[in-house]
Amino acid sequence: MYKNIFMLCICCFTLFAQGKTHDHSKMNHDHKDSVAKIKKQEKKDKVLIEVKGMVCAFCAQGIEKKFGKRKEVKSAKVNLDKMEVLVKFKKGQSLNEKQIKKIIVDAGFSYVGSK
Amino acid sequence: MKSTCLVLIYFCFVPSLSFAHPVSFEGSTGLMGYHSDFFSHNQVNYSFKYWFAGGVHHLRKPNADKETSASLLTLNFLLKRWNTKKFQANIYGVFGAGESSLTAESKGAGFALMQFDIEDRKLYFLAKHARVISKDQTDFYQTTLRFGVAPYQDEYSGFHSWIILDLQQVKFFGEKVINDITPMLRFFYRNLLFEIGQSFDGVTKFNYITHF
Repeated sequence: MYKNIFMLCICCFTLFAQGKTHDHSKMNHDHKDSVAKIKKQEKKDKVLIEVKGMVCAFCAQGIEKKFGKRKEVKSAKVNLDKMEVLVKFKKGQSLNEKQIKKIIVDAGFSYVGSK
Repeated sequence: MKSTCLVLIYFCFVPSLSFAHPVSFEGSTGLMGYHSDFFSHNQVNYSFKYWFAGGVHHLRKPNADKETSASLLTLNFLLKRWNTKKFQANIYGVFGAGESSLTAESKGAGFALMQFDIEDRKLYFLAKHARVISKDQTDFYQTTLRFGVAPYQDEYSGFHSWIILDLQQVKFFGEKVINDITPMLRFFYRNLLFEIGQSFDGVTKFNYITHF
């Protein structure tokens, strides 16, 4: 009888301990996710946008002007050789991909992607 | 207010501005025109979208005995654009109506322009045909072909230069056809562009474009 109770206690303890271990693992995952999110947020302080059709400096000014009008944007710099635009955001602010794509399209160019 | 002043200065002091971007980026205003001894074409447009703009045109024959001009309101369309990693190509259509005194009497007139251009960072080509029509006759037409070469490439914020060969055929109603070939130099910095050249017949030309 005592043996059975003891074994039951051992089983319950084991299950409890496993649960705790699992929680720790989950917490570790959550912690890693938070770190990744922060790192991602840090990366979004600036974004490098690839644009198709940006051959003319005279026309590309539209992109700079369009980004410059956004309150989130600190600066925008066009690189004609690579057909890229480097956009730096103000602290704690950024634009999502949909917003970036709209700005590029409204300026008359094709959006390829951003990194 | 600043924009209004610039427009007034443009109309008062600049005899002609160039014509190469009927539509620009959304929300932009463009001043542009073309000027030579036998013809000038001024335009102001506002781009509501990157593919659609509204424009005001003034065409004039500078050395005529009496006032010979046409004032027109237009709708400018970017009909097709090809954006690639190597080049950009465009087809524009401009359609409008207004008043023309390019012939003996002043009357209502229609205006149509088609333009194709293609360019990369080193080469440029443009083909354009513009026509002012009133009643059953063509008051004026102009066909343009342009070939350009950039001798060097600079950064976006740098000073850019092009060498351009401009071929034109212009005809006013009841007059003989004018053909001319003009080597031109194009310079631009940021949002200011101007071109200057002299044709093989000695006609000086000046073109100008700005967007803001």
